[in-house]
Amino acid sequence: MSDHDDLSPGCPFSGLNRRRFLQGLGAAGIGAAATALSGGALASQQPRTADVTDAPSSSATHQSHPFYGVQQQGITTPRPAVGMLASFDVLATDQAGLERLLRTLTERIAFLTQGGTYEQRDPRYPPVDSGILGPSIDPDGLTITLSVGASLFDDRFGLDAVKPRHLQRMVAFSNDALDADRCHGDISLQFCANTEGTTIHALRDIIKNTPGMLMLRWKQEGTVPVMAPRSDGSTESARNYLGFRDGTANPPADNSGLMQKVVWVDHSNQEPEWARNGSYQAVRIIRNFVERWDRTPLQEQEAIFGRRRDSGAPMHGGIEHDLPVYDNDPDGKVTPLDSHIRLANPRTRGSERNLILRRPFNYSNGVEANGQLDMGLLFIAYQADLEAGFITVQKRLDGEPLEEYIKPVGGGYFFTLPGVQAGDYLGSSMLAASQRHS
Amino acid sequence: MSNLRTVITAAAFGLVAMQAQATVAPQDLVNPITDYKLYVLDNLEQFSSHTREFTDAIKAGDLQRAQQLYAPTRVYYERIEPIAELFADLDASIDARDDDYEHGVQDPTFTGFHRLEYGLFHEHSTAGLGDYAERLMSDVETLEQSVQDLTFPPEKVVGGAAALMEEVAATKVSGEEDRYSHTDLWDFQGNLDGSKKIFELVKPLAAQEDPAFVARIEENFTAIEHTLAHYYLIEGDASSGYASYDKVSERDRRALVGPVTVLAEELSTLRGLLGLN
Amino acid sequence: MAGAAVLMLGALGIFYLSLGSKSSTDTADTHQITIDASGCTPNTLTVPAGAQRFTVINESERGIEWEILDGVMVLEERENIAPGLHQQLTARLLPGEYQMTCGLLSNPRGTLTVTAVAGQTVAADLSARALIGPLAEYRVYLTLEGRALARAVGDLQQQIADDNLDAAQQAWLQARAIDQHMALAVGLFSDLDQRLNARAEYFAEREQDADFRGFERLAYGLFEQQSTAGLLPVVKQLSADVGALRSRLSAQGVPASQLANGAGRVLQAWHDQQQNSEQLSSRARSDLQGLQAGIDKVVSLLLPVLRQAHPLESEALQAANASLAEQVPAADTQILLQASQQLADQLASVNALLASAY
Repeated sequence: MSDHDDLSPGCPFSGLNRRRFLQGLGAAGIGAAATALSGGALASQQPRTADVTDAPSSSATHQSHPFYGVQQQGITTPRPAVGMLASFDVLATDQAGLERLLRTLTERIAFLTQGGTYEQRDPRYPPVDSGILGPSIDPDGLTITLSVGASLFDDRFGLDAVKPRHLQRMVAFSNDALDADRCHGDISLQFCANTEGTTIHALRDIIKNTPGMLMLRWKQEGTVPVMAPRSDGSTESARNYLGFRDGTANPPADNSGLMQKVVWVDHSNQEPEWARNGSYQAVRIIRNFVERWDRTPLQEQEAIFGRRRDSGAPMHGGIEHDLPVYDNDPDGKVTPLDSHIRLANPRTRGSERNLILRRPFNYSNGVEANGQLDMGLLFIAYQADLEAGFITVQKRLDGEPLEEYIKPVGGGYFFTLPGVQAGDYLGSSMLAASQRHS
Repeated sequence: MSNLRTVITAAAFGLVAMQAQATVAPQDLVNPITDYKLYVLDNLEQFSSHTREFTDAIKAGDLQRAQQLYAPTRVYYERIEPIAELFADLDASIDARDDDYEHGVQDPTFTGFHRLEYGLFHEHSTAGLGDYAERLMSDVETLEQSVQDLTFPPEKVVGGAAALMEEVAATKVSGEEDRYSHTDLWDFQGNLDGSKKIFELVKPLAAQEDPAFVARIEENFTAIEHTLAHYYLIEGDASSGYASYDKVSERDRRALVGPVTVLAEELSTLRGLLGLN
Repeated sequence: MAGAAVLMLGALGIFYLSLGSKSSTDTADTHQITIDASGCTPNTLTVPAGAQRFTVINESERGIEWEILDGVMVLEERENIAPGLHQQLTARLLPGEYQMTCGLLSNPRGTLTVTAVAGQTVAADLSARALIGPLAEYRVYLTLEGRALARAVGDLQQQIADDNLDAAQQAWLQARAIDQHMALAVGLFSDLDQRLNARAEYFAEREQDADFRGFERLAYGLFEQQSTAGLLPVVKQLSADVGALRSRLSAQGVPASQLANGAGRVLQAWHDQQQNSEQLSSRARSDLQGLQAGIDKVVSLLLPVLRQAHPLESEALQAANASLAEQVPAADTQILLQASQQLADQLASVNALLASAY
């Protein structure tokens, strides 16, 4: 009822008088008055007055991404509005137990990401499903990506001989203040979907179906601000909680040749055969000191990032997607040498080896003891070579001026398993390889 | 641990395959409910007499003895918690933890075991605990009387098997229950005993409905007891008590979480299996 | 465990409902049984399932009781039918083979065959579930009372062994009170009830009969003969019988159909026993006191189950129970006879309410 001006032109009242008239009726009378005012012209299409607690509607709930494939989903798949990274300890005690876990996860992910209907059980039993999406679920753009941590290759499962070459336990960088309760894990599951209800439902489904097999270690949820489509069809990158666009220089995911180089493990990586079409996943929970940031002059903020805040353009001008050029700025007079984007990607010869595919989400958790906001970036990046990728980039960033405003507190390194075909399960090639080794 | 493996997987797939059953005749539940009440009365009697010794030690200012009696006294309460919790006020005044109160240990209405635990293990003193001891003793006596007069609701009894494992999963595994004394393993064992007792009483009925379910439950109970046995104060002697919770290795903690979660999940179907609402 | 299965059927007895017209059962013809010094006539009887009325005629020389037994379990009974008189009772029975007691305990038992009737069905589910809690609580009560009874009989045995008459009399009263608390349960087991509580008049040789034992035999010694002489073997036997009772109770418990019925029946039996007394004996008074305590427990368990569907009837039951409880310590004979009859009537009506409630 907010827009009374939509009423038919045949309405006998002028806009102003009509508004007054409606106000005079009071809230309870408005519906009836509107019906009366609209007359026959609108009576047939009168919308039902929305209730406060009606579910918000979305036309994207049927959206789904293929689960079966050479590589896993959720990496080059466009990033939706909601993400969550959940890290687990595996409770199974041997490889047979691990295999059952991987089979269960594969089966649940296949169902959850494609949607369907849950079995109805006798109501005297606990229900099969949490029910938070109703008895049948839509995929809602859900992807679930399964990765494994270095600890999975310890002495429990007989996998030590087949560990991916660069997979390692994350070691703190100079600015890190890692919280042990938010680091590492045997397995990570990355959930991405259009809405939070969908990711939470998926997590709860998996927890309910893996009792005694998995123990949740930590999780971090995040979101990406949604933007209205532009009339000219162009896109722009979403912003992080420091107000800057994040992902402008990401390699384009639809360039499969480039993705093969940057993201996917292949014969050139000298990794175990089973690891082909997998990828390294680097996860970082990076707290932002937003109050302090908001008290920092704009020019300083822009110098720290190396971009214009509002447009996202390089410091030398243009638009967001213009490439930064440093050739004529060897001393960093325009784009400071220690600015974030210049350190991260100096665009010098050979630095393309260090490209990574970022897939970050903003998080907001609550309030710190000092009354400041606990928010920041759930950084997730994929690359074919963890050393050349995230680790090298982060080492270049060590000591950057941005560190005054950020504090990495958690995360871990994982290896995203290759994709799966129908009838098989995620990780089968890894287990098969380990059996050949033993 | 090879049994544990089987159990866990069977559980994961069993969940989806389960069908509605209700062939258990209501009368068949009478004997298990009776025997459970007798078990509870027996434990309450023990609880009451142990609480008397414990509170007497506090009133006598015998810190060491009071510390020693703290955990062995609580075991009886932990066993019968599903019934004690039916008396919410008493449960709160006997067993609430400081984070149940807005002002924590400073809250004047914070009483019971955990208030005494704070004094005995954090402040290392019996000073000022006399009134709390008196109050605890009288609460325990009131509880005993109330339970004697209670007709046990069958669904609360049967549901108690799962409730106890939920209790373990929620507060014992994390070591939150006895944060000053670190005697969580005693409580753990108490909850486990209580859950197992209920299960044992209805086991013949459950076995008629689903023998595989019974096997999974038993093997997971065994797995937990196997791990807990690592922490007996005297090797091989379950009655010797338990080591401090901070001695539990990360590996054993994981080994406990698995079967505890499986039991919480599996036992949550017990009421349905026995046709109770 | 065949016995347990039979008991289960008995437990369902109250829920045996006719899908046809209910009133047809009320007008059913009565089945006549005549009892004389040597047994029942007829000695075998076949009746259809459901509610059946029996008329029991006593043509023997002394007061008798008549029972319908399912194994050792008493389903229905009439106590103290005077010589030359008759009494009626209505029983709802499931198809099956039952026995009838026929006067003197030494007389042969009769056979009662109950046949299935087309169109009848067993409706058990909801009310049976509502009774799980009360039945379990009653079993707990019996278990605790059984423990107390064993202790009290042990004490009685000690006093008799010590030839301590006064203390033995006190111990007898103590034990007897507990026995009376449990009367409904004890009364369900015809063999044990006989060994614990049968009165001399039910035996051919009365007080001199070799089978006369239990509480009544001890009372005869302690209170009539004022002596402990010869009582030690009797109290030892009683102690063993109490042990047998406890294990029977722990194995079988009390069927749902017997909770209210049984409570009503033991009270009715006391009433029928005493109805011609001008003045109640102190033994009769203390027995009633014991019975009342046991029945009060049963009523407290039944009320919550009845209350919702039958508020008026449950109030009437509660009032009758409260009235007897209030009168039992001191009231006049006539008042107690009236109060006990009233409560017995209320209890007798409960099963029909439970069955029709759902």
